[in-house]
Amino acid sequence: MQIKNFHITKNSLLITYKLSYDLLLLLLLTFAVTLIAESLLPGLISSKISLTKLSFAIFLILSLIIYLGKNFGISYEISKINKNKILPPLILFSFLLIGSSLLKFTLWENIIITITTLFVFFLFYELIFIDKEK
Amino acid sequence: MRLFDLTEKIQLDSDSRRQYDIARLVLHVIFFLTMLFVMYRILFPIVPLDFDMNSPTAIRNNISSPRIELTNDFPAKKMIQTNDTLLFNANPIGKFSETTISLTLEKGSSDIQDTPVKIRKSYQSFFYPTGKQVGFKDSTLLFTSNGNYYMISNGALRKFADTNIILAMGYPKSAFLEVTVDDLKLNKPGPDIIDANIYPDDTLFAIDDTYYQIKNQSLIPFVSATAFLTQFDSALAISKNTDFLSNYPESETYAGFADGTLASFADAVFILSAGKSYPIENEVTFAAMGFDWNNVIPVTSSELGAYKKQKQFTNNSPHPDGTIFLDQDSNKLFIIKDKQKLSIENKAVLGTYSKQKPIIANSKDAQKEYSCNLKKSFFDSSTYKCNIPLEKFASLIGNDFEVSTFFKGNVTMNHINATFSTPLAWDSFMNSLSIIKKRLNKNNL
Repeated sequence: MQIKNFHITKNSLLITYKLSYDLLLLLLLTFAVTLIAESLLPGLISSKISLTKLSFAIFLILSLIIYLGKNFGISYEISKINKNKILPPLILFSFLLIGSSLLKFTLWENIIITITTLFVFFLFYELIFIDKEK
Repeated sequence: MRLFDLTEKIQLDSDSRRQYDIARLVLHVIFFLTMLFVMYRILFPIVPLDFDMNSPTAIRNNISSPRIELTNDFPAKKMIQTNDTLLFNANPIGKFSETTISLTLEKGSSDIQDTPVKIRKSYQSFFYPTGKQVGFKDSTLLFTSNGNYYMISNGALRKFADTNIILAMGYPKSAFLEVTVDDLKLNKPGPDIIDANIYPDDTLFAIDDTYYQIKNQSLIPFVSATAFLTQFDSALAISKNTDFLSNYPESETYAGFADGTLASFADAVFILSAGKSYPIENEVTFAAMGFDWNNVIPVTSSELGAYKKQKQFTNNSPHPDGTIFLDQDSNKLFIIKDKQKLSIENKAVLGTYSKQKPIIANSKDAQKEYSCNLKKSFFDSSTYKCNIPLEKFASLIGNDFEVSTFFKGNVTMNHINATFSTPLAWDSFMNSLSIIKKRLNKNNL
């Protein structure tokens, strides 16, 4: 992360920028927890917290971060994600999430559909990101 | 280094750093308190129920049937006249410690400060006005000790002119129920049965494996023997061979189960009444409405197909026609018909309804009223509110709260709200956890 044209008079905006990041993390955490809870018990949290409003809030905070970031000339180095560390838990989590939504199917139908869905997701990922990675 | 500082490379001077740390702490505290509040609302829910008087047919309205007591109709132009009583029903599911009734009036309405609001609890249909005693069921065959024989046809008592007609028509003598002359007064008198060639309406026949009922001189087949047996004993049906079918046109509609029958098909349970089937929303509604799983009859798709499917039966729906209530207090049975509850007091009549299982209610408890006086809201001068504790209702049977308000002046109502809140108590906490566990088991196991 590099900062250009930094002015001390813009400290309050810089604090806002840093706070926006903190708020974004909290909102994303809330969104993830709500999504997991909803997959287990539909309506449990969404009856209290609107997922639409939460999504709007995330987009608003993101917009604020982008706007302030541009103002301060903050740029990012794309950090390399360690696939070996992230992928296994991500695949396991996705497997459980998709599997739990298909409990009305028999065990084998459930496993086949879940694996096929994950495979399709993998293909999409390859199609979208393979060029950028190269 | 601070925990989860996502912007640690952005350095601030010491003053700004302190300001940021304080703001960050405040942000986390607010977030934590918000999450705590959400958890509180999940474990100790409040149920706000509303009715927008400007859009009485709106789906979002979840208070049942606001009406004027005298006419039983929705207030014309939202107006409640002087000395009229407004009634409405609220049906929250759960255990609640308190309700807040809130009425919002149109500007210029009379002041309703200190107007009492009364509330009582039972089932919505058990609050219906009590009608006259119910008579014998159609198709019932009766005789008295003085040697007269009768049949109930279209609700009327029709006397057989002589016993030869009974023999000629083939009515099974064993099916006649002995009653007193006084019992006969429960049904209006009809014309005598004098012609052995004309079967009166509601006569039952058994032809091969199918039961029929005669109506307007056409034969209505029962959708199944199971359906017939929920209403009548097989002994009531006159046995005929298939040639008999050529004497009467056969109806295209079917006769079905006794009104109020609970029927299960696939994963759903339906209430069958007057040719209509009402799918019950879920097992919570099933239990809240006082139904018993032991009274559910499995039916086939063709049996269910004879009924016109209606919208879901929710906790806001009153029990349909044919539902029988057993009043714990008087030990009397009541049957729901045309928004009235008709008492079944006569023992002989009771026998003809004995195949239907009653729902337990209590008329004495249903009369227990608690009240509060409306006070003008601090924030909105057109809104009046008051709170009624509900602890005393906890042990009373029923899912319905009937709220009534008597107005001394003309009032134009815009909005009705009844908010039910759960007590912050260990019992409520455990109850909520138990509900979550049940839902988890249901959804995921």
